[in-house]
Amino acid sequence: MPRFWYFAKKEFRLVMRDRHALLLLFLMPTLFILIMSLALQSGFESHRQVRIEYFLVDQAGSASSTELARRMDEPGAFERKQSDATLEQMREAVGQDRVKFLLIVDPDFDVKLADAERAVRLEVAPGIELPIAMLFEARVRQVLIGLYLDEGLGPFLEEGGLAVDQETLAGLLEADFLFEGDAGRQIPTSVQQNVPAWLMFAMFFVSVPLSTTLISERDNGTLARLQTMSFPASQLLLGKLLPYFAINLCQVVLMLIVGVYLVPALGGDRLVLGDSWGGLVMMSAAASLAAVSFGLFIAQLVRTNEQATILTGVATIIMAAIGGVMVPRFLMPQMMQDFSWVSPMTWGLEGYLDLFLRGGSVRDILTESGGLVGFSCLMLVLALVISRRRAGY
Amino acid sequence: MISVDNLTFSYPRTTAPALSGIRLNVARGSLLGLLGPNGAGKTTLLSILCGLLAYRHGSVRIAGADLTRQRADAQAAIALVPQDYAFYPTLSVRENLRFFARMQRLDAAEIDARVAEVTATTGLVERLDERVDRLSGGLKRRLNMAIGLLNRPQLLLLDEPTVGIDPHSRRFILEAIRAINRAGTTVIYTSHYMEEVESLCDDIAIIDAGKVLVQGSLETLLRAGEQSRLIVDIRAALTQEQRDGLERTLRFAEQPHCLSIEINAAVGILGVLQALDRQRVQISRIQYGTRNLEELFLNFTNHSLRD
Repeated sequence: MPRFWYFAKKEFRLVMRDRHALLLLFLMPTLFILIMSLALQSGFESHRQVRIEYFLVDQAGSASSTELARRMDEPGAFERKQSDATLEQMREAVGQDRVKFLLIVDPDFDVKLADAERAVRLEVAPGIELPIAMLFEARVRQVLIGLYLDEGLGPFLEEGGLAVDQETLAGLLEADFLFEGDAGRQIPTSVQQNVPAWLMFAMFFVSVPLSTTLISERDNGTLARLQTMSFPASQLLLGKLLPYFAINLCQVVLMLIVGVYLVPALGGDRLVLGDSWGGLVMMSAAASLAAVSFGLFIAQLVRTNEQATILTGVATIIMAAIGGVMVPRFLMPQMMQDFSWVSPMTWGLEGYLDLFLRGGSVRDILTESGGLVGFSCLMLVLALVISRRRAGY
Repeated sequence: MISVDNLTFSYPRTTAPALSGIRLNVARGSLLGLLGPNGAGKTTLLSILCGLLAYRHGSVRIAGADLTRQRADAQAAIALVPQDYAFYPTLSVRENLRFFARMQRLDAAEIDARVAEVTATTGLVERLDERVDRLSGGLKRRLNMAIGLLNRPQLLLLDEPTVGIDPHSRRFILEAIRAINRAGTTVIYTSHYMEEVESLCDDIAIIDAGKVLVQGSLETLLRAGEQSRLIVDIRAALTQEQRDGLERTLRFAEQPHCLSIEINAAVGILGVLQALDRQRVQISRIQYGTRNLEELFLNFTNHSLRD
């Protein structure tokens, strides 16, 4: 058996005997999830009831197209956003989820309406809930069919005693869903947001015990002793990585159990895990690797336990704040949403939301998990370089 | 066992070298006391010897292996017992020993035998299943040493192994070191306790400002040049009248409460004692023959070991 395995076993044993670390790693996130999921439940629900905005670009400017806009303006869940922006700017806003729909009325609207050809194009933002998108699409169709019957060929058909062909009328609207797959991004429920968010936070908190144990080993000469036994830095890092990786996976299981069973038992929503177990394992592995590598990097970077505790604690909290753990990303202004990608917690959280909320599969989380693995590689390489530089080799 | 030649080492971003042209030879089976004031370069030298620091100038051979080219071979022959408690306090004595035995690449079959061997040597047999953080300071020191013995080293480097422990444990550890050395292990021992080094070591090396000032047999060094002086401890400082009276017949150096008086053909020991008696000098102790290690150290370094 390679020596890093025994080192990892020793490390695991040390953590299991450290009650404070266990409380920090398991009890703290459990309490956070329970408190935040239950406390913010109504807040998330009210957010899910907000009015949904759309753009309408009238390229025809005819009486019929104006009537279309008027009918779309009738009170409902959807609200037309008035804007002087160009079509491209509007497309960009929809592509970035800032506005949920874009309706483009064809320049030849009247003719195409009469011929039951594609008179309107609908573009759907990637972040919209599929049922809401379908509701909006149905509303547009309803208005278009109404117009067709009132102003297009409808009156003539009816005069001639002919029936309106519903399939033909379906061609009046071309809908383009910008998201991939069969589901768009949704606004999460409280439990859907809080379980992965505080799970990411807890996973990154392993960097606290990890870095402090490594620094203690350096301070009391244990690392030097191991070096005299020709125990290489690479095996040491691996031996540190494995047990904390396992602890992270235990955290994942525990937090998911809390979300699926405990939160609903206390009156909250039940966490729906999605269908992709492979994706869940991949996402958890990538997030854990990132968290442990970050801890190893910090441990090599600082000199004292005090520095490690402060730096890992502060860095974790800042990454959590930026990464949508404390304030959900969908509530942030666009600039902050864009900026939040600097935090590895954003990658992890969005990956979990892809799985839990958007029905994503392994393929859908490749970007997020790939980003986390890239971050891990960077942290591990830096940790190894610093470790070797300290040893003078 | 150890051959160090012209070893020079500087820490990054420092101007003065920590070690400068060190030459040191340690014979197989010897017990060498390495002495030096704080900052002299002892720890740097030990760190280089056990492969913790890489050097660029000079050469170091340990048990025949070049430390630069055959570092793993050299390290296999060495064990370092650091001054700090270099083990895991929340593990038991047995868990610690088994872990470090694994790190020394010992086979599973060998481990139990080695653990039994080193716990017998260090008197920890009864404590095997106790958690280390519940042991006394003396027992922790013994465990620190036991870990160093797991690989049956040819060379044992002991850095202040008796700091902060009770006399009983100190005596036990010193006896253990003697036994280990008698069994053939070469030992390098650093300590601030001169009396320990004096009672334990056959050879000493004094190091200061990154240089080896002297190395040799302890007995020879203590005797060298000291047949011609009488060291007299006095109860009260000399009066001017006493000083003038002594200077008429003796050549001496005066320190607070201590006179170092030269003995020569004209004035023998008896003459010195008679001169002191004539001036009614109040004597508390007279020392003749050899100096002690503290004096030897002062002579070479011009400051006390505890400075």
